[in-house]
Amino acid sequence: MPQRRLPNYLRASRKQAGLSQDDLAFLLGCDSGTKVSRYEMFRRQPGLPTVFALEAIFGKPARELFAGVYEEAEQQTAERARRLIDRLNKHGDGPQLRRKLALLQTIAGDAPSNSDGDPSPR
Amino acid sequence: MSVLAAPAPRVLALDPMSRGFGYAVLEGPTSLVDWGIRNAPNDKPRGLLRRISELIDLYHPDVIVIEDCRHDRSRRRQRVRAVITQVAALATPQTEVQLIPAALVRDVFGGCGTATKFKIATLVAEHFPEVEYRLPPERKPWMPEDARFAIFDAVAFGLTYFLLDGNDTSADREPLKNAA
Repeated sequence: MPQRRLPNYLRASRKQAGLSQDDLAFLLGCDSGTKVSRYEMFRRQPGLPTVFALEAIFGKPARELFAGVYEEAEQQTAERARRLIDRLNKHGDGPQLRRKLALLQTIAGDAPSNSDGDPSPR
Repeated sequence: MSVLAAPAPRVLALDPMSRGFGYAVLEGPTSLVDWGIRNAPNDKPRGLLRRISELIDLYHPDVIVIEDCRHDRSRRRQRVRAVITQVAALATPQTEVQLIPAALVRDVFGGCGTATKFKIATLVAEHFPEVEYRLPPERKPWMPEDARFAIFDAVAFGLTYFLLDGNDTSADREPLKNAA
């Protein structure tokens, strides 16, 4: 199994669509395909408007186009959620805290420890 | 738990030729990530290896698949044989190198070794329509081999690896590192 996904699958999506780097650069409002090449070589991350433009062009969600970036962000967020759970568990109890913990446990990928808590707000 | 499906092993399939090499990157038998031809200037193995090394650095493949040219029937030139042997040195500790005999690819695609290069390329183009535009015309006896066949050969080697489920079904197939 691969250790992780590629940061993005822009080259695969572009080639599948039959677009050249210059074509894609034009659609993204760039001057030349150099920027597209840098995205494809994982040397540069596009900004949010470019990511949405890429979603619109290829008709795929950003988390598929940028699978590796998404996976890394997801893992880091899960780790932070686990740390926040540990921190919040030291504070008393209450309905709002239980709601918060249910959400954090979903993010962290853990089963909620308190089954009588409110359902996840997600 | 990620919402994304678990990825298959990433395979870099290579088909060295006289002027460069064809390559294909696959993540499973239905996911073609990249493909193309890289030319190596001056016909030097060092340039060829450097370009292969660039692809390994970019894609960090789990497996490198390349032709097993140690057969008596292999018609590969000495230079290409040397390149194939040296590919093992480019692999990282996480990257396995698998040798697949060309006869095995023909068996997988056509059965009993009857498939021609063009037939295999046509089947590859049917499986991955995105590469169809690179399919060269069928070679006539007086024509030199079109370099674009290297792409289809590389994809065919990669697909063979997945179709055999990464299992070593040939007695001649073994990691290149052990053979080098």
